[in-house]
Amino acid sequence: MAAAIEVSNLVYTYSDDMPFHQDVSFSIEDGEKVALVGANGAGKSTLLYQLNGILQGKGAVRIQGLELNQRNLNHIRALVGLVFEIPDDQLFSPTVYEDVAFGPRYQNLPRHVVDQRVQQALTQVHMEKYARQAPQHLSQGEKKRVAIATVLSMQPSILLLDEPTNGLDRRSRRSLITLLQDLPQTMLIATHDLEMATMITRRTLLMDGGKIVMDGNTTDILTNEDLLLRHGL
Amino acid sequence: MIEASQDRNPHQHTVGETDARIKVSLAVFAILVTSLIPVGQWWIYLCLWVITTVLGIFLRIDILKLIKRSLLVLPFCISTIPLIFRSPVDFWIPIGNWMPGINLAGLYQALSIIIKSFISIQIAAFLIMTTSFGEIMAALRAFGIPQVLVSVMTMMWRYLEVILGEARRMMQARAARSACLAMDDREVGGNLFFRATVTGGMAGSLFIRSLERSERVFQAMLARGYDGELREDRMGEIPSISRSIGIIGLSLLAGILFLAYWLG
Amino acid sequence: MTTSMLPMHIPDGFLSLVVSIVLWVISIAVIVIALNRVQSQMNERTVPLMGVMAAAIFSGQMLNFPVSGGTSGHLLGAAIATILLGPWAAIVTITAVVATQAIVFQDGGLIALGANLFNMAVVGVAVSYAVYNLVKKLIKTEKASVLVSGFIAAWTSIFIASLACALELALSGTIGANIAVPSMGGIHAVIGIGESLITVGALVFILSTRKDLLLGEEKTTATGNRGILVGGSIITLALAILSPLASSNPDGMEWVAEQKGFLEAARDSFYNIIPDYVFPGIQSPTVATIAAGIIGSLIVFGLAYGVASLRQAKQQTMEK
Repeated sequence: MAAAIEVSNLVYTYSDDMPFHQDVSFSIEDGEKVALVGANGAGKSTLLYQLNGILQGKGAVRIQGLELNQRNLNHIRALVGLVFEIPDDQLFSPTVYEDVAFGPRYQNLPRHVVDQRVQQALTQVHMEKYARQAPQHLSQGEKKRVAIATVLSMQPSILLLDEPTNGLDRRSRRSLITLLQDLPQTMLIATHDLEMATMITRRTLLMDGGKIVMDGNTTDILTNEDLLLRHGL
Repeated sequence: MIEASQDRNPHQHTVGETDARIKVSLAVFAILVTSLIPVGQWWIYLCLWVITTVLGIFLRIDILKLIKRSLLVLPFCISTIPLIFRSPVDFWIPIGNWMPGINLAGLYQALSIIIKSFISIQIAAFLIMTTSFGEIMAALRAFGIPQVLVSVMTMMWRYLEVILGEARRMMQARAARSACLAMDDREVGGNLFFRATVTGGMAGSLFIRSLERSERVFQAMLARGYDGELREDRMGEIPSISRSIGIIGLSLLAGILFLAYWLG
Repeated sequence: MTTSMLPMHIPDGFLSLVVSIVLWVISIAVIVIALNRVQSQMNERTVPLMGVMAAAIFSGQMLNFPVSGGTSGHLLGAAIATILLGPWAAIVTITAVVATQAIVFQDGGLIALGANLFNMAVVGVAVSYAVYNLVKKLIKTEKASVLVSGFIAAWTSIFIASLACALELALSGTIGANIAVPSMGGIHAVIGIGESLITVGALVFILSTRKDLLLGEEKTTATGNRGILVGGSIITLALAILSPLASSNPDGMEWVAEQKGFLEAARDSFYNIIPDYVFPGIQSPTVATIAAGIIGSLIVFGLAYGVASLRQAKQQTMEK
């Protein structure tokens, strides 16, 4: 049974102005929820972006056994949903409905199937009534949930989330945490919110300077003040 | 289905809910007719103005907003004033020590221009006040405007508020930093050159950040399967009520134009 | 208030139909070409890049700085858009901005939109492009060449666009060229300085943060862009020469009348091809009466049909 995500010796170099390398290997099983933790600039986003093909690094990435390359890109993007840090960047359509329908539409699904997917996705994030709304008028928390819906409508088996609780007030944060706990997908969550990581994930990858310095139990790592301090948190 | 338009009472089809294609066509045709009416057809102008006012009432247009928009023509209206005073002079008006000579034809022309431009602005205002930007874009697409331009404008509309907000915050931050030392005779905020360059810096920063945002939006689109092909949302058939309103409007306007030339 | 507040958006009613139509045709042609060029240059990036940047330019026009006595300096942005995005992309983005201003804010008329697009999206961009590239060749130092060329290009784009605006108004008979050209030109010569300063400020910022966007491989060498280079130069020269000629005419109105006479003669000769075409000034009174009768009947019929179909349509929706 292929792992959900399998990364071997992933190396990414920025342009010559910023010589920054990553050398990363890990593997995540189906259904696992893993936190990706590290100081700013440790390389969390860069890693996420390589897992759905936005950035191309050297090394091997396998999603559900499929190798990540130009040929498989579309297929992989249907399997892996990336939820960006800034929801406004991801909600680029005139209405919530159209944003959530975007993915299924570009998968060339028939109209009634698209509609079903949108219904389901919006229901999963508890935003059914907002279909006709323009995204610019939603609150941060609502935007984050719709952003997740835009990815869920493609029915991915893996979710990558970049700082999901960033900028949320307490209530929105709590409801988002509950949502993430309930969703069945495999998850890799890049975050600064250590408390959220403890509540949702059981495994944590600690990054520093582009490398994974620790891979283990979430509670163990995140309660180890020494360890965290050493790596910039 | 998420489409919930069926629970609206069909009896309550207001004029404002006419199909966008009809509204846009009528608005443009109305402005066209207005511009084609010869100079000096005062009764026709009155007729047109009455019709637009009645329409405005029907559409429940906010008068204050309408007036604010109409003021935009003022600078240009002022430019018609020289027409009034051109030669040959028909009669003089004593105003205090001054005796300006009025050319009647010029006066009529200036007034006609001003009246027509006010009517035109009202019609255009009605259109946007009863139709959403998205609907107008859909109508334009139906009329043959290239899909890519419509998509660009739709995307622009989506991010307009966001980026306008950024611009506003930048200006507020600048205002907060330029403490006003009114006691000084020195010009507040630095000299003109400085102020302009600072504003330019803000513009540059806005543009760069927008460029970077556009890249992120692009990546978000790609991540959801975007392949550059623009999917078109076809508007359905024009509903019968709208079609009828279109025919009535068209006939009315053609009638007015016809009348204007018949009487002229 | 979200409008650009530059006195260059001509409202409806000020331009003659002929002028409007001609400028619509030219603008549409140029914009269609620009859309194709942009798509072939940017492929899938077209919509997000153009869309977001159009929003940026629109918002950039809101940034202002106080001048004096309650007035403020604003940006049109044709120059900075051209320098940053290239001429074709600049045409597309400014088109989006100007069209939206007309449709949503009534800043500029709907029929006059063709002329406004011509002045700001076509002339504004073409002139910026031509001037920027020509001046840039003259200056050796990298940074200085960008800033100086940007300054001059920005001012020239505003000034020349205003001359186009003035000539259009004069050709329409709304205002004599002897008044329009000096006043529009004069006002915008001053406003243009604000545009230049803001443009330079923006260029300074961009040079210090992302100079890769401004320097490096010249986009001008692409053969497609040469057309704009040439076109922009021609427009600049043509308007710069035509305008003082038009305005120095002893009786500006006479010059306009001559133009109008020419235009009307052209129009009449067109209608002579179709002798029974209904238009005022038709020679035979009998034909005129018959034609009028037919048209009148058609209009009345149209009205009656419309009302009848409305009744029927309403009934049908009620039955549903």
